[in-house]
Amino acid sequence: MTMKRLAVIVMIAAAAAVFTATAIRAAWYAPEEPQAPPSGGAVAALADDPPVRLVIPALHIDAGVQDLGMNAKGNMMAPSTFTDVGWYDRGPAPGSSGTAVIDGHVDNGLGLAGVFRNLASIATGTDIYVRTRSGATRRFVVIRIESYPYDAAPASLIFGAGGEAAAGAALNLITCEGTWVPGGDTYDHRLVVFSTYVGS
Amino acid sequence: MKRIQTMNRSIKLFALALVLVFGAVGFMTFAHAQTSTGATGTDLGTGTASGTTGVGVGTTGTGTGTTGTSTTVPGVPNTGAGGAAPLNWVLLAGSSAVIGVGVLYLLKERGVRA
Repeated sequence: MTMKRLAVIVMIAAAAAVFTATAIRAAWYAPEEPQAPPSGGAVAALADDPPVRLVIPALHIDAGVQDLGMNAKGNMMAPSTFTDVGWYDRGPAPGSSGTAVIDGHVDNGLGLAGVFRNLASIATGTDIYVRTRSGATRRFVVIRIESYPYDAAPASLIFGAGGEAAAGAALNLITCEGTWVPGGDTYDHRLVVFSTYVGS
Repeated sequence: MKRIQTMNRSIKLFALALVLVFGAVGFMTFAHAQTSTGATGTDLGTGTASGTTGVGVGTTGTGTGTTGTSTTVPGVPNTGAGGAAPLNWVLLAGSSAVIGVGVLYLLKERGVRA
């Protein structure tokens, strides 16, 4: 084998590796490093019946639910795929007393639609269903939709520590929107859909 | 013959340039992905508790209360990646071009004509 031929083969292999890595990372996989739980097991999921599926018929969403904690930066983790949603498992489960939070990607690294691409078009009064591990279905109704700057989003309100939803069970959906912030590698706003539990 | 040699040299230089460019871009993309930052979370760790006021008869009242649930409040998640799409499409197109040129070169070297 000539050196020239060998060089071309190496070049093809390198290009194939770049192609494969880019395609996998951009189209299918959104990795995040989880934050280690505090020592002593002080933080435990409050859910006795965690969610396994999120269904919003009006938006044609029927997605699997991942159990997520916090990432190394102290933010709620994002789902590891662009088609699943993620439930914050350090808070209550949907339907339990308190505020449950579910997030999902708006798009992937190729600009193709993520599970919450059309979340901004949801209207107040829309039904949201959560299926749980026990087989129960919890029904929520959208009560309002808000958009916040990503670096000034009221986390206490969104995650229910502000007291707004303390009286009952609530479910908040969250995703990205706005324009891209290259330095921050993120969109500049967060869309939050607030909903309240109306029954099983 | 000399023309073919010149063409081969041009293809080789072009391919080498593509590898260097896309290798550098790929490395920068990887490095950027490792160092990028999202919104910073604040661990407020607040909880709420509620109870009912006891009713007293005589001198001593009794009361019951419920234990509140506690949620560790994280920062908001980063759930979008579309801003990186142009760079990713360039990487896909560039690497595809390099593969195509390389395969064509190998076929040509073996004497296969399109």
